[in-house]
Parts: sequence; C-alpha cells; structure tokens
Amino acid sequence: MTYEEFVNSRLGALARYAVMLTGDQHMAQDLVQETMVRVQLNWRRVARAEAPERYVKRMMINQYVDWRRGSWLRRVFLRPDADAAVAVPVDHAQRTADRDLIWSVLATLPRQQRAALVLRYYEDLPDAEIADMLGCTVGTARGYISKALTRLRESAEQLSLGGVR
Amino acid sequence: MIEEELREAFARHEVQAPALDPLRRAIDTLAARRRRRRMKTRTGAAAVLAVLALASPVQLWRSGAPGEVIDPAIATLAPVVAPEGALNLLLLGLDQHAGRPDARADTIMLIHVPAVGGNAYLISFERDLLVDVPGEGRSKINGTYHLGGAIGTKQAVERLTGVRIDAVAEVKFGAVRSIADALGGVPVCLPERVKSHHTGVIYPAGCRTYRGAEATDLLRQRFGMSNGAYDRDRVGQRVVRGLAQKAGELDLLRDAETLTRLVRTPGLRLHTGDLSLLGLALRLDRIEWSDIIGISQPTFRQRTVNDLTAGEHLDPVVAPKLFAALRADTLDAFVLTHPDWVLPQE
Repeated sequence: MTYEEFVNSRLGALARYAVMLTGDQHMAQDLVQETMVRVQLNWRRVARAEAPERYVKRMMINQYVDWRRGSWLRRVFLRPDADAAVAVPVDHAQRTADRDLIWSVLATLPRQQRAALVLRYYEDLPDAEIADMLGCTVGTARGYISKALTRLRESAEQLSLGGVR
Repeated sequence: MIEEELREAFARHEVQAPALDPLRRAIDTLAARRRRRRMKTRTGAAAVLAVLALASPVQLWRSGAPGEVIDPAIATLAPVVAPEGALNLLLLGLDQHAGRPDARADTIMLIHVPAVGGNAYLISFERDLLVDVPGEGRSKINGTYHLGGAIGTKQAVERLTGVRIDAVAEVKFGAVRSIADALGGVPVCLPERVKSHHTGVIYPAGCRTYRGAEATDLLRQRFGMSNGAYDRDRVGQRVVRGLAQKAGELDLLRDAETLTRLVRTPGLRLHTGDLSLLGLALRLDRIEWSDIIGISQPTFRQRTVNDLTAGEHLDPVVAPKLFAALRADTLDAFVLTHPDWVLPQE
C-alpha cells in the first residue's frame, strides 16, 4: 500500500478517531496533522507494520497521551485560522444539551481513561487489544474503563436529579 | 445505560471531524517543510555523482535533457527539478585522520550559487578561524568537525554567516586524487612556486596539469607559503575551478569508462536537505568554470588571547559586509568593491 492509498482510504476515519480522543475539532486537526506528517516521513516503516492503520492509531494515542500542556497552548495560540466550530446536529435542544453533558464530562477524564473508552465504545476493540494500544496490561486497561464509567455514571445521576427538580 | 449513551455521544460527534482536503494540504505542507529541515546522508554512487557535480559543475549532465537520467540507480531518488533561488553548499576537505575521532575539516569552502546568473562563488574559511560553539566555548573552525561532524561544521558556518546551508559534501584527500586521475588530471595555475613540505617536490609558478597524487600533495601545503593556510585555501579554490574546467571539456556522458571510474570514487559523503541530486546537478550545470569566483580573507589576523589559544579572526570591517552580501545574494557587488578578497583570474 502506498502512502497515497492509505490517506485516500483512511484519513476520514483517522480524523473522526481524533475527534473522539480530543473532543475538539481543532485539537483533532492538530493530532491528525502531527501524526500524519510523521507517517508520511516514515512511510516505509509504517507500511511494514502488520496493520498500518492500527499502527497509526496507536501513534495518535501516544501523541495524545503525551502532549504536554505547554505544547498545547503553543499550538492553540499559533493557530492561524480559527474557523467556527461545527454545530452538532440538534433534534431536540434540551435532550442534546443533556446528552452533551457526557461529552463535557469526557473532557474532564484523564487522557488514558478517555482513550480507553474510545477504544472500547467507538472502536469496539476487545480488552486485550485496548491494552496493547495503550501499552499497558489488560488489568490496567479495564481499570481505566471502569473508573471512567463510574465517573460518567455519577455525572449522569447528578443530571437526572437536576432534571427531576 | 451509560455505555449506550457513550456510543451515541461518539457517533453524534463524528461530524466534528476536520475537513479532509485542508487537512491533507496541511499535512503535505508540514511534511515538506520538515523533510527540508531533516538532513539526509547519502553514500555510494549517487553521492559521488552529486559531489562531482559540486566540485565539477560543468557539463556532467549537459547532453541529457532535464528529466533524462543517466543512471538507473539514482533515477528513483527524486524527481528532477532544478532548485530555485540562491543555493549554499558546503564543501569540507577532510585531513588524513578522516574516519577517526580526531578528524578535522581543514578545508572549509562555502559554494554560493546566486538566484540568477550563471556564476558561483567559493568562500573559504581559514582552518584556525575562531568561532563560538554553543556549549563548548571558542573553538577553531576545523575542530567543529571533530566536535559535531559535518553537521557541526555546517552549523558553525551557518552561525558565522547567517545563511542556511542546503547541502554538505565531505571529501577526503584520496577522493580528490581519484577524481583528478579519472578526469585525466586537473589544470591549476599557481601565482608562486610551492615546495611540498611533505614530499619535497617543487611545483613551479604558472599553469600545468596536475596528476591526482600531485594535486592532493599540493592541496596539503601551507608551510612555507607567504600566507600559510590562506594561500592553501586559494590553491583549493583553483583546484575546484580546474576540476570544473576539466569536467566541462570532457563529454562525460559519452565516456562510460571515465564515468564508471568517477562513480566508484571512495571517500565522498553527501548530506542533502530536500535537494534532489540531479536537480542540484542541473542547477550547477548552468555554471561555466570561468565564472567561478574565489573569495577569501587576504591574510592572517592573528591575535593571541590571554589563554594559550591563538586563532584566526575575521576582518571586523570587511567580513560582516561579505556575510551581509552573501545573505542578500549581492556578492557580485562585493567582489567589485573588494578586489583584494577575490582570487586572481589568470
């Protein structure tokens, strides 16, 4: 597979995956950009991997988990074009706002936990592969997921309590 | 269930994915920029051809149309596009310790190809010139090779002159010998006679063709010359001009035997940025040997500092003008106003 073929067929999926990891369109763009530049410069090594797409997704996770606050700030301030954020489709305003509470709680999770949730509930990977992608043991990966779910449940309960009131 | 809500939240936000076309363009632009910054090291036949193109720019590829490639081994490296704009190439002549940790670059020559026009400038840096090396303090410029290899010397020259170096060629003395012999000798004109400190041979003033062994012996001489290493650097500039002249006279493309011998020259290494080798050759191919102009400080400006290190200093008035002209790509004006810094033409 050539780099061109890879980009043609997989860039869309990678861009969506980056949104799930970062929760933000601009950060997603930075994450895909930074990763794909390295992919392009080292394509032969990437192409030799058993599953290039998974290899690249793992690169993105590493990049996302490692990104330091300082470099984030720099990226944000140096961004030349700040396009308007794309609105999420709304069928029922209040319901969407409630649901998006999950999205905003996701943003408060430690990055490994969020990555673990993305791998299980967006990528639908088995625990062993999640652990492999995160570079940790299966136990640790399950721990990330259960802690994250607990946090989300607590937030959801608060939300429903608020709704009752 | 929270899991289901999570799946829905993910699915719902897929539309936030950044637009693919601008993303793709941004990736390509960034990758190209980073590729340019990343210095690649090449060895083997391709490097030899490119270094030859550096040292002997004329006519190597003249009979082929642009894009026509003479050697399948180098055809795959990059598309043949002659680079635009001014080019700065660094030629490092390595002493006999080449390959050992104490190796030094005793000949340091910046080759400047202006954005327009068919000429080139060779700017020599005297080996004992003192330069600041971050983290190391003051060092002689030939020691920057010992400290940081070809890239170390490249960075030292960049700090000194303020221009970015596009490619670096490392040349061992032995390689000059092979190239000169493969070309059937190199024509050199000497303004004064040179007696070899190493072999005792006397090379008379005037013009003659030097065999490879003689040319390398000549290139090593600085003892007994009026201006020491400054004179040696000017001999180096004359040898480069001579190699360019000889390569221009031969029709190398139709001379498979000579070409094969050149390609097998050992002792050459080339570091390039995003320059394609053939593109570089095509660009250098526009230069006639007689339009290669040597520039160097005329003679010593030695100062002994409190400590024991005695090294060379640059002329505090003229050198900044030279580097400013280099940065502004106006060396044509510089050579008109500073004839004493210009290699005399026979």
